Amino acid sequence: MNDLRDGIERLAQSCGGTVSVSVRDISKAFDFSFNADAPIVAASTIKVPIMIETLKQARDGRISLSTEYVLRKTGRVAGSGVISQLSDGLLLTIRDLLTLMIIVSDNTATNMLIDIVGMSSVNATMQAMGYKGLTLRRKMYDWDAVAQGVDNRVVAAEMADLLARMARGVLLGSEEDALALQIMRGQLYNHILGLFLPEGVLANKTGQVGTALNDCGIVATDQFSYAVAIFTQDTDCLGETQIAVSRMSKLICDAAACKNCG
Amino acid sequence: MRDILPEVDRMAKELGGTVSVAVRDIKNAFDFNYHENERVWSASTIKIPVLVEAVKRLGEGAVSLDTEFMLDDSDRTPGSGVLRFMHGGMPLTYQDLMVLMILTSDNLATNMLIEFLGPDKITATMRGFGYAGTEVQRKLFDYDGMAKGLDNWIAAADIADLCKRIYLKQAAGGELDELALDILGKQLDKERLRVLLPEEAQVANKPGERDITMHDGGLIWTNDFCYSICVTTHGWQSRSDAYMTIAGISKIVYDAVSGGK
Repeated sequence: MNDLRDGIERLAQSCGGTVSVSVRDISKAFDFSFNADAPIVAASTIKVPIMIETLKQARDGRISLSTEYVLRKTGRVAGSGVISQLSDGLLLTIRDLLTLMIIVSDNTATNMLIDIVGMSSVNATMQAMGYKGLTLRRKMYDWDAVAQGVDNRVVAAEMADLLARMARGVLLGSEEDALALQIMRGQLYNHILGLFLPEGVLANKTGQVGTALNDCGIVATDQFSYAVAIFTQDTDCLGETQIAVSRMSKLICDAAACKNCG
Repeated sequence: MRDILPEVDRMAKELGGTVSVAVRDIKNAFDFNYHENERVWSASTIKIPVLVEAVKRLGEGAVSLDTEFMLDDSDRTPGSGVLRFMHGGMPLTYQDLMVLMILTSDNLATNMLIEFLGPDKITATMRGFGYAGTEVQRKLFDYDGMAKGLDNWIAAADIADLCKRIYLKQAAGGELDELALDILGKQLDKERLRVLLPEEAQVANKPGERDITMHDGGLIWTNDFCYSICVTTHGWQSRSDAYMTIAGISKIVYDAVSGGK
């Protein structure tokens, strides 16, 4: 474990800025924290709390995942995703929106879901779950809000804890948690936490805006599983930070494998 | 311009397997070749030829951007993309299929397009451009086709040249190539060719990955220069090493073109 800490520290130092790492054991892995309580600009990792709130409302019968929404010309936002590039009039169910928000980080789908579930509901649910550091304050691509200092924030320790509870089926309940995990497994962005990991072990959600570069998810192999969040901001070079985070993820996975090889 | 061959050769040999590189000058860059005609499994990089054929057909009036296609609930082609997770019966336009095929490497959208366009016709268009190494023989994840030995192929030289044609509006021509370039530019997976380049580099590309194969091909430009590039890799031991090799070769080329380092 000292080797892991040394390796993470060395990589974090090479990035500059703020690097925050949290690992939560799910099965036969370990807990690990490095600057894990730092508040970081969320970027698209805030979409995990939005997904949780949407599934919670579906569980409670307040919305239905099969309700259809029509894609209009208005309300489209740029940045990550595909809906903004698709045809006017496209029919999307809430489940389609959820999936696109997570697997291609679709900003338009995210803003549609924020309208459906309510920003304050997302925050209330996170607070009730004990995650005061996972806060949704603005929609995607609302740069006016950012200019006024209003932004979404995440904390690695809280996100890893949320994901670990989700993987155990004790966050929303086994059915909703399984669906959340299944959606995250369809992730197309597997180049940060996933770059140096074996194929098929990761279910995750990335985020990148300005100088923030984040990824969080669940790593599950036949031997072990854990939740991990690595959040960074104000680092010297995005490309190099991305690869450093990939290497940190690999160090963590190797340490878990090492623990199991006895 | 400095000679990048030794560096490319060193990186290729470190990775192992087969590495091919083709760079085509469009503006203030240079041509570069390294085993450029080696024919390799296309993986998803075949989606660039499919895109070119798709916009070409628009020009022939056989189809329009808003022609409707229905997502068949029984077809859930695996692998990359988003449509396999969407509700059955979702109506999609021809333009949606092109966009999803490129931006999310959607295999289901690609198969709907290959079905509509015909594999032979896509290959014929590529032959018309003089590309001997590029061929579409089957849909993606077509296990019957695979069992019959059918496969899809590219060569780095073909893809680099095709991207140059798109940029110069010499593939499908005029607005059609502009549309193709616009879609390629909105690629969500700009990782390999892009990751080590500076902020000012603009990238329009299509990666591909399958088993022991990983490629990336596309266009790279700034205000000062422009070139097309395709790096193919096959037969390596480590996926992450293949990723870093493509990223590293892209950076070597970029630095040589830009005069950096």
